Amino acid sequence: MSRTPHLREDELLRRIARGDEEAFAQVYRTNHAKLYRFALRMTGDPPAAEEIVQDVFMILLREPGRFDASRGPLAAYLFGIARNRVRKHFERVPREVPLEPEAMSDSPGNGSSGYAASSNRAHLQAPGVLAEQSQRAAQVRAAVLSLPPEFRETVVLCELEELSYEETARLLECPIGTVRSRLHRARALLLAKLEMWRNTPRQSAANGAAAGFAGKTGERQR
Amino acid sequence: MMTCDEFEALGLDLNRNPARRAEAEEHLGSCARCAAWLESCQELRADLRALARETEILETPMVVELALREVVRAQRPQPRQWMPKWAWGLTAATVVALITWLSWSLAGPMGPTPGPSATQVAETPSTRPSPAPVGLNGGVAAPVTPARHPAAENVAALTAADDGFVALPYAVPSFAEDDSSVVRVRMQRAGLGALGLPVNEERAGEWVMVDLLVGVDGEAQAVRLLR
Repeated sequence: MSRTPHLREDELLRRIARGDEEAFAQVYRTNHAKLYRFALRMTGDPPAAEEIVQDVFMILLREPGRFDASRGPLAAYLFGIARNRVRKHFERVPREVPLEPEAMSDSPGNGSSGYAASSNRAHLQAPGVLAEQSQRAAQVRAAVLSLPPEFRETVVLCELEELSYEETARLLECPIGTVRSRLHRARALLLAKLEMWRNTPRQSAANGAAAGFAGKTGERQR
Repeated sequence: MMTCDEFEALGLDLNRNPARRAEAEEHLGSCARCAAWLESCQELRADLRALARETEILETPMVVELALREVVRAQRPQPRQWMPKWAWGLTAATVVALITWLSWSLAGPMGPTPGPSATQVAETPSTRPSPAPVGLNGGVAAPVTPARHPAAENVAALTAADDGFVALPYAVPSFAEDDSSVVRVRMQRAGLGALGLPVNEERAGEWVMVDLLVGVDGEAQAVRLLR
């Protein structure tokens, strides 16, 4: 890896096509973690995420000529393949939205490297706090996974990967306005879902009454 | 005066839009509904950030990289044969003809010298032990039957060793023991199948800790299942 730090991406691919393992390692190690996290956050399923990452690199290995350096960086190209694989995963696997978010955190299928168990890192905290945090995290995870895919990927990229709207729009190949509106609607859906699960209706009523806005509570200003 | 719709459209991007910030704050002061909405949005963002932090350490399991490297290795062009196949055949035929002619000419026109009978020849190996072959390093080598790749014996030794490593079926070891390294990975039992080991399908989804013995060439040579 250290011997080929500044090779151009198309040159790296040419070397990979000739069986250069070092060139492959460089491309793989630069990109795999982001792709895995994206796939995992989209599917919520560690084995599926693994398979998606493997498929992405298999496609790169089998058809390196499909990458056109003039159209954008390799990372974006690989992300595009990962997105397609995620879509295919959704087509193949029936959509399963957990009714009880707690079930996700307790499921035996979610091992310690899984999406759910990752929240157990705060093991030194008090059990009560830990339980509450764990439940809260499970609810957020479940709420994200319940979003329609196009909203979910916007949330994953903008909120979890913390990409800018511009970067997200480039990766999703859509206008920035679309990213904004999807994110706006995704947040509204997430809030509604979490409020339902937490059984805590929006604080407007309570706050409004306390602040003397009883008359305006729930009314939108036009 | 900003409306609720305008405020919601601005949402969490309030800080990115300083031009409308004063207007938004004025609206916030007079609209409890939007104040509550903004608070919920900020809580949601904090929850999502927490989720991002929890999952940012996750990486693709090592077994994926190992499998892909195997594919890259398979793409390496095979070294070109320095002699075409037909030339090998011709050479072999020439050697056989030469040996036949030599044995005929050494035996002379009277035919071969009297030798042991067919029965005697057949009995020779079992009744008279042949001299022990000399090893490459000058010592007397133990009779080796059948011939075995020396590297394969390394792995066989590993298999028999007490450290619990099992040689992978396809492995052609090319390492000295000192140069190999042990990589601990967490994988599903199904992954063992990809390494050529038998897997119980009912337990294929189970996660197990595995030590992989990786040779200097980066190839997994042996595997040890941890309890």
